[in-house]
Amino acid sequence: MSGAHDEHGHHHREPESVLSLRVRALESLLVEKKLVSSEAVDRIVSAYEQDIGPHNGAKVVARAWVDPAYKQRLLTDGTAAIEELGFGGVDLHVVENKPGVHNLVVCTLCSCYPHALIGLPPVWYKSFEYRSRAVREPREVLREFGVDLPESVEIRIWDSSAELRYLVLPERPAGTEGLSEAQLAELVTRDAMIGVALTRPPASAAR
Amino acid sequence: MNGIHDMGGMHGFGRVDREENEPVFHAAWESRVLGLSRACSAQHLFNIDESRHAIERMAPVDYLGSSYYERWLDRTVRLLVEKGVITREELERRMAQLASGNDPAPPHRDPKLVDRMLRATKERTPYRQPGPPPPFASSRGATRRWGTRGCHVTPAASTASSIACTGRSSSRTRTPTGRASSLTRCTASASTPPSCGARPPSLARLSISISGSGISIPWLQHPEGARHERRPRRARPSPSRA
Repeated sequence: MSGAHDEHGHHHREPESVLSLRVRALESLLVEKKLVSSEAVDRIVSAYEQDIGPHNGAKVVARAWVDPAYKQRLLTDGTAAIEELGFGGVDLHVVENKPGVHNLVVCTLCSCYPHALIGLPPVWYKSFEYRSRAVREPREVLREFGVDLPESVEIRIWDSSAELRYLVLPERPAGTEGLSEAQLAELVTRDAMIGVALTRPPASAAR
Repeated sequence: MNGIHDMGGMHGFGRVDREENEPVFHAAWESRVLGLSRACSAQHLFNIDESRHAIERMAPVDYLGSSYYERWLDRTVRLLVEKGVITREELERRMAQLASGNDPAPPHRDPKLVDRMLRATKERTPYRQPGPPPPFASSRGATRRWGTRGCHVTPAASTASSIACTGRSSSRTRTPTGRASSLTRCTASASTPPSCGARPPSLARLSISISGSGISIPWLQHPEGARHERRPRRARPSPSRA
């Protein structure tokens, strides 16, 4: 797939119709060679569209908020701790937001991300803008997400790899003492688990 | 190695755009590319390191001008061709056949493949494997250096307590903790490509990545109104939101 050059030497990628046709042709060839079944593709796509998403990670966070021993296990060995809740598919290191410390996750090289817990990454996470700037000017990037942290707050940036991916354990919001674990999970957003949002108490909990 | 994919700290990119209520996929073909790629992995046609490396081998101008799933498609075709699974001519022929309404592939069922792919989303990954000892590790930290553009500091399961960076190299001193030392076996070397699937398995490629110089990027605009994740847009200065 080399694209095409116009008379000005500009490089263009393929139009949508050709891309779509190329993908269909690739699937057709792999099905013909009995390497892939279309059902397998359907099922994995459906899993990512319907089953695998931030509600999984929210359960992990809520459990850590209500169970100090679980939280300790989660921070010590994230991979083992999420297995307790039935999740896997990722080598995980969990980083905890605390007063004076905020964590932010990026993959500067591509898009590594704990899919099993928060789904496939959004376009912005994979964007050149986020990948380049999160490590150089994290406070500015966070402000673009509406998170304006005082200079006194230390920001720790975690650059994911395929082998080890990060999840932020957000701070439990004040005023949530009476909430159940399930109600707490409702407060936890994907963005908070990446570190580009803070968790809010129920009255203001909007994604 | 300082390929175009190694974007941490680069200058020239604008503000981070977000899409409200973003769908998981922006076009059906994107979802097929993801599913096909996962199926190829489950069939051991390529592994995660090869797949990352294949994207990183794209020509920089193609990399910058492609959307995320275009890069995945490029990677998948590239690896299958290199491994002799398909040929580009075969792919072109099949495109022509499909365009004329003829799909010669008989249906194929493989329930075991479905199971393997779904299990892979829930089970432990095989990605982290024992690697050679780190050439430059010390008890106090590690220095990693490559290329002329920038520097990364490896690793980081602990806090970056101090960072020193010049245009060509950097060093970071950290205070190892018990956990950090068990988590962070630095496997970096001057020749280790900075791949997020790099082998040997460097771990926490944490934390700091600083470029020594700005890079100007020949931005490309796509002529079609293609329906997929947006391609990189023209970089603009990034005014802060008041």
